Amino acid sequence: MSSSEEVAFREAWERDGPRVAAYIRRHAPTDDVPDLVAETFLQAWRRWDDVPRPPIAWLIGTARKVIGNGRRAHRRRVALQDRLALLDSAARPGEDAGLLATERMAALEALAALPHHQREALLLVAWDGLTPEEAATALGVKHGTFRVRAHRARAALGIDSSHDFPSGRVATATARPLTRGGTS
Amino acid sequence: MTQHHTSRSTSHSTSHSTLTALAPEPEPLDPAWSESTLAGILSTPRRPARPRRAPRRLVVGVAATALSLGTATAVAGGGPTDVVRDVLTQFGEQPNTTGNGMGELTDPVLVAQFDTVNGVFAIWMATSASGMVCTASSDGTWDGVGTPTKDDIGDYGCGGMIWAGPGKPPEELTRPDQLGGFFKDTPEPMVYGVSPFPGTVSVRVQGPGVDRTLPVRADSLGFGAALPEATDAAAVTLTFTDAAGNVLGTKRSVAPVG
Repeated sequence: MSSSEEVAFREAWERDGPRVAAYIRRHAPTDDVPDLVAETFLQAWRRWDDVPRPPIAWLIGTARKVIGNGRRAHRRRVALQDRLALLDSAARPGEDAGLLATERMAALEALAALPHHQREALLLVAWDGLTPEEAATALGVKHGTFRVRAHRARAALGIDSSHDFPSGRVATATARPLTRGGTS
Repeated sequence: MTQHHTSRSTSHSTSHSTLTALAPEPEPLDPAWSESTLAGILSTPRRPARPRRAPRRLVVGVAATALSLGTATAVAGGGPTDVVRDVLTQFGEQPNTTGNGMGELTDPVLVAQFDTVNGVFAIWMATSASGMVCTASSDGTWDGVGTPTKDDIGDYGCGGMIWAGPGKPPEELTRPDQLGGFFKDTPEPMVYGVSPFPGTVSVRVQGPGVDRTLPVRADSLGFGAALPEATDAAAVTLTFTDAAGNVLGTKRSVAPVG
């Protein structure tokens, strides 16, 4: 292995690992987050030569697939209450967000009630900090399809259409300690 | 329509600022976990860079050829199905798993193997002397040629509850034809499964943006393919036909919504 590749991978791990963890946290139980992050980056390392740079869209797309593996294994539909619990766990606490508890919960309930692909399109940009182009890549859809999904999500939430397609990133990448759920 | 929607949403609206305010705070990885996990990843051998992809049709053809060779090799002594057998047998021997009491496995067979945007997806199944249905799959970690390692088999198990469709209670997995379905929780949609009709040679997959016919394997009655054109489809209809072109039956498969 070349040291430059290892250096680049380490940088991606430190820079993007928290973002990938934050993405996974709203799709999988907390206890599973560390393993899913590790599996995502293991797949990245195995084919590091083929991973595009910057790798964040590829990493989140792969994380979706890794999460999907587990979901196919269980073949269970994630119920509304489960989705709400995951979003509640992943979102910023109300006091930090400057929101009333009722306001925060109402927003999370609205997000949880969205169709899956609309919620994904919305939060990849608003929470994960991807550009619309990166989000479309992560979802494996054309940019036009992504725009439609994001627009529908915003319309369903009553968000003004002027926020439909922000240029650049609208949120900073996120993360939580991966040992929170136990990694041993 | 827009007016109505805007009006309706007033009392339940979520502002853009509320949405972004809920974005989680950045927090670094736990240093001890991060360092040890990264070291473990970096100690894993990397695979060589892939050659540039040939057109999909060609890649599928090559994969199918490799598949035939792989199956033949397995019988002769060592191949994908032997690895799958080992993985499932070990799973059954572990305490407190759904594979306990499986008894002897019948020979695992390939259900489907196809190319996806993230690599090769392959799934095998086996039944057991006690009537269990077991599966094993590799999703992007095996290159589809030769024999996968046990580590390449990332998902495996026996029995368990499966999602049976919207509004339906989960079902116990007891038959191979319950496997699979139409999935959209992946970077691109995919369909795979096992025909419930003996003598099936092909399955036509139809839905919004999708209309293609897939071959059905003679040994497992399995089929599967990535369906990048099915992005807007919520469900597909599967029509199974025999060698004479007779329709043996149909099945509707709805993508789980997460």
